[in-house]
Amino acid sequence: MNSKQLLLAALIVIDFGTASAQVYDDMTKFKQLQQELPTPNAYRTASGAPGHEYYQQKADYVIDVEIDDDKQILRGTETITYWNNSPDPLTYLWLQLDQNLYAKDSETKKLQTGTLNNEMSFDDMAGLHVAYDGDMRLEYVHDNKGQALPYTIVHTMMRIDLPQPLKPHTSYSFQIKWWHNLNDRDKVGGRGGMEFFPAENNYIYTVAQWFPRMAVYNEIQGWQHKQFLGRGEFTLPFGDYKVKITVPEDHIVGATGELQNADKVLSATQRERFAKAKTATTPVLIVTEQEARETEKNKAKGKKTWEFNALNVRDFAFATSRKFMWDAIGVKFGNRTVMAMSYYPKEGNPLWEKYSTKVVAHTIQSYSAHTVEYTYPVAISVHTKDIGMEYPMICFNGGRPDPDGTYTERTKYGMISVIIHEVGHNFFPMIINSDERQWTWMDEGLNTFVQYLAEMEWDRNYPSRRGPAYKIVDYMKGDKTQMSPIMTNSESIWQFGNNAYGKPATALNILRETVMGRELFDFAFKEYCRRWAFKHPSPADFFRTMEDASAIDLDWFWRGWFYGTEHVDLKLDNVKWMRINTGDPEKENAITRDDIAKAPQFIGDTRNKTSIPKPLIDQDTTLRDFYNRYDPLKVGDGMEDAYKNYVAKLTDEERQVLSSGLNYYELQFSNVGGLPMPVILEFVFSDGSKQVERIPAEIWKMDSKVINKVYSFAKEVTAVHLDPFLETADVDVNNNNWPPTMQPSRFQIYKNRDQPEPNPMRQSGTGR
Amino acid sequence: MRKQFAYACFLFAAIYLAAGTAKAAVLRHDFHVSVTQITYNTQTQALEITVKIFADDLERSVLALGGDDLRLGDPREATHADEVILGYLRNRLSVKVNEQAMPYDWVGKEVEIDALWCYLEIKDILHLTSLEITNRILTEIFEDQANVVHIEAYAQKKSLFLSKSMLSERISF
Repeated sequence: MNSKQLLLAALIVIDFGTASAQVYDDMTKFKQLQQELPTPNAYRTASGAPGHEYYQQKADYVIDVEIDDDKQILRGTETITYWNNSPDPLTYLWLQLDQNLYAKDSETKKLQTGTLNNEMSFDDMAGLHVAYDGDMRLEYVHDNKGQALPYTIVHTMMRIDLPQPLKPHTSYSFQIKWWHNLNDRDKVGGRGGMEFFPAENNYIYTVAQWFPRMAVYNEIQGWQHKQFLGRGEFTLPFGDYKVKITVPEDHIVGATGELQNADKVLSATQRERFAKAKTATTPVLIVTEQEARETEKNKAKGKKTWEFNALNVRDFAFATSRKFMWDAIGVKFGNRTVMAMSYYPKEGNPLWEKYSTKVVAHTIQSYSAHTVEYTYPVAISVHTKDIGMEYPMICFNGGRPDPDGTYTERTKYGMISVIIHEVGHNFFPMIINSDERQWTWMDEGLNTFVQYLAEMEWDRNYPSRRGPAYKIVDYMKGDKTQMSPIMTNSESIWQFGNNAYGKPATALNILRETVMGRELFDFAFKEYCRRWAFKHPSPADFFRTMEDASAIDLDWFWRGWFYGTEHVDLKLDNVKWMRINTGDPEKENAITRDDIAKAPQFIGDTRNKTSIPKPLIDQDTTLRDFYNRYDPLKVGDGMEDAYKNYVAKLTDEERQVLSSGLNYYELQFSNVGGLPMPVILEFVFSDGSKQVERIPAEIWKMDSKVINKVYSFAKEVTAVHLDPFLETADVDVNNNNWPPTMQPSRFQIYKNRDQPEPNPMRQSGTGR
Repeated sequence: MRKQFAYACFLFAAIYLAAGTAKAAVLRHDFHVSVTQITYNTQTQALEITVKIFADDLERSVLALGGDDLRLGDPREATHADEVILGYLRNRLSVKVNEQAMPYDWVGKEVEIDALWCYLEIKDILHLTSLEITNRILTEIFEDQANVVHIEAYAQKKSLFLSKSMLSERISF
């Protein structure tokens, strides 16, 4: 490539870093978010923090529940004490009856779309033949004096009409008795329910959404009583729980909260082991596999009642079975000890004994470092076949080895990932209590982001599915008519997993690595967690806090990544190389002569050199005159004097620029994808050295489609790479290089490999 | 044939309801998506096809349709896994090149924990005027299965989103 020459040093200054031919177009990408976000007020400030009049309601529960292991029925009575901390009198209360999702005439079933053709999906077939009758049967709803309260059930919601309005800063207690059939998860699905083990006629119960629960009332939308349709999860107020769980006496129970009557339900040996686990360095089995295997062979006739207390939680779940073994380890947070624990049947081993509790311990430590400290007394992982579902302090996780005790790598990492994810949900949404019914991304997206950090801390080669920018490319570059923005209500999202888990997790990772930097991001993210721990944040509180704590204007980022569906595709259009024309005839004329000599020669000229050995002007020299002799590049004729005069008029600084010998490069970029992102460049020089330049995304304010940028280097540039560290989720990396280079596709890499990669596990001949 | 398939469905319904209808926070994977990249390589005059599928979904579908446990990526992977996968794909992913159905050849596969990457190729395409893709991968088990197809030819890019409501699409160049 020939360099073009800048004729005047002064021109350079004008050309530096400015965009050419600007059109002030499409500024909506950088428009502030004012109109999209709610007006700040005394409840929620413009800085994203709770305001001075922030309030939240409280719901305390005292519950007696019994699991009927013969009929798989749950029966319960509860006393709810509802605290109205709002400034508003309430004439009625709304409760959630989530189990009504399984009513035979539930809205969920009515809203399911389906097609009937000669290729029915299994989902379709299942949907047509569900026999489970699972809604909540209320035996009474009455006040503390036993007086019946009028109530109305609207699908999964129930309104209780109060005798008098509940005034601000007062509380009201009432009682409900109910029962429902537990759902067999293998047959009808569900987050809670039970799994049946036919070989020994035994059940593992994982019980969730099992009691009438208070809905959230706040200043954002009054009562949050959007129907539970199955996808948009839960929105619940904090409260204190006292729960007595009656089960067959040979069951082991794990639950939200701390066990209150260990002396009544555990043996002396079990209590001793539990005490030992508090200070142990490796998980201690409180119920061993051998013991669990013995227990599950019989069925005890008697019952036992386990009592748990849980403070400041938004929900309560539990698991119970005679199949459970149980291990635990104490995790220190200053002077506090949190018990990380797991409950699993023999079917979970050898995986569960080896990993589950250690993963729980790692997760609460890792998340505590990235968010807020884990303040609950226990963190529990319960084995299931193949789901993952979270509740305060307890979650139900899949990952089951094969019956012969071996397991695939996929099963192993699937299990560890799901445990990190579900235990991680303790932070989002159990502690930082966002509205899941409204916004899936606020818990799933944030949690998936921290999950990725915890996975990297587990093993730097961890096969994380989501997190790195480049992993979202296949989704982002897809058909836009089939995408919804992240800021979409939970029930209306298209491509749920990528939209609500993958994209927000990736976006936060990009903020952390590229837009804000780790230090600013981590400070702001922790500030969000600190401000909203044990409170109810909204999206605006998150967006505002991240800006407020960092002094980085992120409106363009929220707009592009959270409110839009465009993807990132930046393109390096071309690179122009220029040098300064010093004006010194001695130097410049030599360079010009050199350029002419190096220039490509027309083929005819080359051939004529031999085919015309002597042209006429060489044969007859009288044909020559001044113009045949004139060499415009020859230095002389006052050229040097003119140069000296020119230099003499320059300032010292100007003279320095003139003699610097710098190479100037004008780069042109275009934004093909539409989503503005920082421009990250790697220059490679002729001596092999490299230099990275990072341009903030605001460069696209100058022109949203095409920008130019000039760089100067003493060395000559041989290559330029855009997004060299794969940090912007650029969907096309083939237009990112100068000189243009094509990255081989995955297909080509595979095909060009001589031999398929050997499978090391296969060679070793064993999976374990 | 139709009757047989219905039977397989019922058999499978019992196994599969959980994953199909439970919408817990994270199932094995909380979404049902395959991604296919089809690139026309003008130099080799071949259509290069890369299909990424969740390995466990494919395994379960094969099992439910009466096949063997493939154990993809495991030391004890079924020796005939490649044939089974190719058979499955040929049944559920078809490509019409210039209005003519063209079978693809098996190039190979890779398994990355939960993702199965299949490499397929259609050779001797001198010129490409149109492509019609029919993609029914895993729609037999998931109502919400989405099959994304990215196509690249003659510097043009197009992305298709195929699902039960639209199983095939045709594009021309």
